[in-house]
Amino acid sequence: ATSEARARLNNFFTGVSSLEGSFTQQVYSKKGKVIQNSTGLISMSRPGKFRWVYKTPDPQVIVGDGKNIWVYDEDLEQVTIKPMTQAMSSAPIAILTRKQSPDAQFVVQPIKGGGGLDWFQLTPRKQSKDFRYIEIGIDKNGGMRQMVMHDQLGQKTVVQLNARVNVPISGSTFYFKIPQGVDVIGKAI
Amino acid sequence: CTQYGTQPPQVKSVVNPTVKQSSWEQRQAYLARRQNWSLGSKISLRYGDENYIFGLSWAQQNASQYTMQITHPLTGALVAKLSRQSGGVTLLADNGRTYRDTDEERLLQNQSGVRIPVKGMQYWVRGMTSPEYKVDQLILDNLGRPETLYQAGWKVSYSNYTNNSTQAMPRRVVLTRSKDKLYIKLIAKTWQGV
Repeated sequence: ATSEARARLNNFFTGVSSLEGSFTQQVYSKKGKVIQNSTGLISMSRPGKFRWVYKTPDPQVIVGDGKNIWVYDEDLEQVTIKPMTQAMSSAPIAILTRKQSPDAQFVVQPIKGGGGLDWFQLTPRKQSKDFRYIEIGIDKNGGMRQMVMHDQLGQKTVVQLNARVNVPISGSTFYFKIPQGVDVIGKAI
Repeated sequence: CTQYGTQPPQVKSVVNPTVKQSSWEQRQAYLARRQNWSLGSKISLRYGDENYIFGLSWAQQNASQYTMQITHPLTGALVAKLSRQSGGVTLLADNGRTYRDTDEERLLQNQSGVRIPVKGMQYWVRGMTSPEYKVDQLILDNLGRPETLYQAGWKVSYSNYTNNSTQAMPRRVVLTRSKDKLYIKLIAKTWQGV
């Protein structure tokens, strides 16, 4: 079964060009205490484009347009523009925006895991300062239902996804329009 | 005639300066008696072209003792903790090490390279002038609350007060010091004990 499950994982990476839905996310401290609970919406278009909208606890919009990351913090009325390479620290989903076999970017190992999913550990071939490795839970029809990101501080970010794949998404979703009167930090390339 | 629950249109009445001044003095006296308060906030700090966003929860026990927790804006994880207790000032930094001093502004400057006006902020974040510095200028709104104040080389501007009372707390505080290109925007999310 693992080779069949591995085929489903590969297909998630090579056969899925877009994804849209909602997420819940919990961050656990090193000692395993939940330090943050958040919910929101996700759209992704491979390669390189995503929109990650935190609804709770603080409203934030994070858009990757393929070249830049736009982080809009509504409370602070501030937009910060960063290069795409710094995407992962804002939204773990940015790790999955390449459309290529997982083996190109990661060392892949099947592991045990719950939720009736097939689990794999993906360790980046190139050391990243944002995360040590991720774990992905794939369901029976090839959908990624959970992703767990282990960062360099020993913290764990668990994302549950409820999303449809290969749905048409309009290009404007990945274009960030700077709202009126906000502070803008950084420049788009 | 009786009012049928409809508010009369809010005419921006021109309040004469002496009334504003007495509301202000009443506000200062009221807040000066309340030195046990806490604030949950988010801060954007710009220094030159560097920008830092972090959470700040500030618990002031009395006039001279407080604990400030600096947290990661997205995860809420504790990044650093600054506190002044009877023995002096202690900073638990994000490298896990603890530093001590008698002056919190010097301690933070030694660690971060930035002179953050912690002493003044103890009053400024609540929309008060600090008793420790001369007031260079003070512009009040109609309810005697500061719109802008100038102290210790800082310009502090306020908006979005929590309600329409003279003792209301500000939700948005912007501190700027042009001399060293420092810009601090504080968004207050929760106030307690004020």
